[in-house]
Amino acid sequence: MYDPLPVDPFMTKAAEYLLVIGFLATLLLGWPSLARRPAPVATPLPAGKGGTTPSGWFATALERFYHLGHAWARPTADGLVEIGLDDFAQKLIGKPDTIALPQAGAQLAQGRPLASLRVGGKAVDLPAPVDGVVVHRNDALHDRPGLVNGDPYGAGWLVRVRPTRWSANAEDLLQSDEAQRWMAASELSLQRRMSPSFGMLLQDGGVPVSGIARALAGEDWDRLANEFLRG
Amino acid sequence: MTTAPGQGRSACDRRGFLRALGVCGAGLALSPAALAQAQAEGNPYGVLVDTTQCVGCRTCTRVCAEGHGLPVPEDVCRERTTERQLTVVDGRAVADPRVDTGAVFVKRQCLHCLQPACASACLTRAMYKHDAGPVTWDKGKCMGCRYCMVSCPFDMPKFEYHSAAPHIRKCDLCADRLAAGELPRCVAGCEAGALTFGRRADLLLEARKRIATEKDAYHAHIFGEREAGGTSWLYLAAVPFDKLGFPGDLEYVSYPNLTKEFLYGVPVVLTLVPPLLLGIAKATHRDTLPATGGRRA
Amino acid sequence: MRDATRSISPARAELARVSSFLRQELRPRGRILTPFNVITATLVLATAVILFFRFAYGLGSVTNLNQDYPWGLWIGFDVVTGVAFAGGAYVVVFLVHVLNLERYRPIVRVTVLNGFLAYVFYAGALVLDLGRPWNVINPVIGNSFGVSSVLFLVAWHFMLYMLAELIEFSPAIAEWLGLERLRRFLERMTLGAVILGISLSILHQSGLGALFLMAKSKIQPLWYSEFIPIQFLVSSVFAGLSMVIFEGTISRRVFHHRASASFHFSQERIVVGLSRICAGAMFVYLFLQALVFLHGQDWRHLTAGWGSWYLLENVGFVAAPCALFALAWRNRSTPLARWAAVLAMLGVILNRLNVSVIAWQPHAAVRYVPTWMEFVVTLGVISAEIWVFRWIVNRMPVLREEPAHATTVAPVSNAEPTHLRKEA
Repeated sequence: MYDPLPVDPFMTKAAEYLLVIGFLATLLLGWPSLARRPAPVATPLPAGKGGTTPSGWFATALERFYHLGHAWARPTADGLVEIGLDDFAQKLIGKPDTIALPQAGAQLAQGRPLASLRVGGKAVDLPAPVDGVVVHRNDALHDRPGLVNGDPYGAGWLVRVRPTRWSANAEDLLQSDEAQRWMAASELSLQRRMSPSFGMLLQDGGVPVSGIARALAGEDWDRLANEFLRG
Repeated sequence: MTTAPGQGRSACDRRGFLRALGVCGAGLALSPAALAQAQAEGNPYGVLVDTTQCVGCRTCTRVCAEGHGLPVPEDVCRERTTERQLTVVDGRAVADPRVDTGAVFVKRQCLHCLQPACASACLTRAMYKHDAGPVTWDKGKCMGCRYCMVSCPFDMPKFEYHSAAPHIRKCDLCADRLAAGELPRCVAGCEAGALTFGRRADLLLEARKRIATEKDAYHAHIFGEREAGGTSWLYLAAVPFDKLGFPGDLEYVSYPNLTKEFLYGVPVVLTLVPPLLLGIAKATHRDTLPATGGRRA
Repeated sequence: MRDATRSISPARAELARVSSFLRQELRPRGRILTPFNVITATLVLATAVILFFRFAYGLGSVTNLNQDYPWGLWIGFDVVTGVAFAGGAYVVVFLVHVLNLERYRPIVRVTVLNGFLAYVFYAGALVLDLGRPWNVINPVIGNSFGVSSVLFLVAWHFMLYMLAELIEFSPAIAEWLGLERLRRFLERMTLGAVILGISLSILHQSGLGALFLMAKSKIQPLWYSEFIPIQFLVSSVFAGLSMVIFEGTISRRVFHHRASASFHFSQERIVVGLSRICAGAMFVYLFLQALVFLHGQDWRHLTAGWGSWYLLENVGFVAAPCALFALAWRNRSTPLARWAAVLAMLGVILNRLNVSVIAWQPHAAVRYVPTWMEFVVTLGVISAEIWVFRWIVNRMPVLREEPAHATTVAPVSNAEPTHLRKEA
């Protein structure tokens, strides 16, 4: 009969405000658990060629955080982070002729090149495991670059940095059990590129001085090494 | 006092009304100048449908089909237009003291909204609202996306699903005849005088006058005055319109209004988002100084 | 006698090298008669036949579309849902190029490629649905711009976005063709293309929802509100990421023999990280739904089975996968993430189909059910898209672990490596 009266546009306003407050409260309460880094769980290993199992060719050291680019990071007592390359990387590359390290004050970004290891005119880049500013670098490597082969987890450290995003970076780093599993998986993926006889030699403990990459790929060894160290 | 269709109001009154509009009988001197004037004044032409006068003879459907080159429609009442029939007469059984015969006949066709949803929806402007009133379809522009069909609250555009070069069919208010100064075919062909053509403001006045002078004959509402923001085809009836199959949940603002906020948000988003993203990218950018700045052996 | 010493310009030599490389690349690799190939080839052939009929005899000859249901499976699923699933591209490039989260860099290329192909094939499928497709250039060439139309906006954004995605992906093409200078040039345009792409995505993902704003009286009120555009935008975030997770698990299985250990571990981090984002986005979406429900006083509309259907969609296919994603993140479980992704994708399909087809014209006398031919064409389009994807991924450097100009390094067989030294 008559035109309908206009509808009150604010009929549900009070309820909507309450709902939004409830949402914000839930967000506030739930955020800490959402932002926390989850605990690592057992990741199944990819299968090796011909059903082989990893034999522990490559060693990991305790108390280190490993980046998928095969660099390790160790928080030190004075709030810095010590960085080096791991056993896999040093065996892959072999004995470097020189190691180019960043100067003090240089800024590093996780995943971007940190150091360059040179062998006979070819260079392999090692990605940085954390974001930070370089504070010290290992000058001993200037005269004795072979330190990275002899003691990659100790005297062969590369740089010490002041980290700028440690918690965020740590979410992408591997530790203890998980790191060991990953190292074993890296061994398996290297095995896929090898002949059986070579594999047996490595099992015996022998490692080519010139580096596994060169033994596998000859002149193209730097491309192989860069592929594995890309993270 | 009830009114039976075809009687009641004397023919004199109607002729008097038409004369007042400056026309003579059924032949209308509708000059292009008059059309242009309607355009300029924002007072488009429209049609008033007085369902109390309609006898359901369906002459309008026949002359419409003939004039548009469509096959002669089946001589029955239909509820909806089709892709072969641009206008239908819907016969509705109504039990109401104000309806003598127990049936009301409603002529249905595109209502040529003042701000049509179809014209706003059409991305190629194939559906186009002329200032003089008609909403027409242009086959040279239409892509056949059928978005006009999705948007029309009256479901008027009909698509030729079984044609390789399909048309969208709906009433076009005989825009071609209007341009030549003639009445739409249905209006010219209506013998019961149920259809009145004129300027919308005048039609509204006439409708209100009829409601006021014959209170018992009409339901006090002009359908199309504000529904969907106002349409060019206006309806009068003896009973409430929801009893006659008219949609009951129409907006009282034009349908394009419903997309207004979104479309106006587009330039806002394109203005705010890129600088915001650039700022974030710059703030989170992690630089490295080249690693080869070291000493070598 | 021909002058044998006539020199070729470097550009001509480059062109010759590229074209012979392309000719070589066009040859198929691997077995041709796999079950997958046979099934998809049948689908594509059937699609071609059906499309012949569709163009010769009109849409009504192959679809069940009618005057009440102008849009059916092809628009409701291929376009409105398919584009949501392609939304992974704009989210992932946001994470990597704007937020600089290195963790997700390995999947950028494959996600952008998927997004680009999705838009090409699904927007292409839209052309198949047009009644008068020869006029499709009208809104493009400026013949007749219907600027007040949401569809105009969506169509233009689709085109511009495809261009932006092509620019984002083009460095991979340049790498494949070995054109290093071109690659560097294209890479500089990445950030600009990314920002343009994200802005466009925000607008056309919500625009797909805005298409239905004028159909207020035709959609069951539980699915209609003025907030449809925002709901579609938020759901495109987790729809896209769920597709990334789901697709990643398939790609990984297909291409895993090329993967190295680090690839495997980084993939896990990616899936777990994306799960967290999906859980967050779905949480937000649920509250948005509650707000819309309140605002529209939708309790009045929980009638005639629609209420149960609405609750099924939101509880079973939004709230449940939201919880599963959160669990998957907490427990670092890739299989759980995959299940959550499947549920979430089903939920998005359900929601989009409800708005466009199922809850459309709830009072119609004859409800729309797609013909088998509509399903076949949809599957045929998807099959064609997978073929192109596979062709590209097998040749261009898309999956992270394939170095450019990939060749597996030949082992030094039967030869003892020299200079052996026993480790202490």
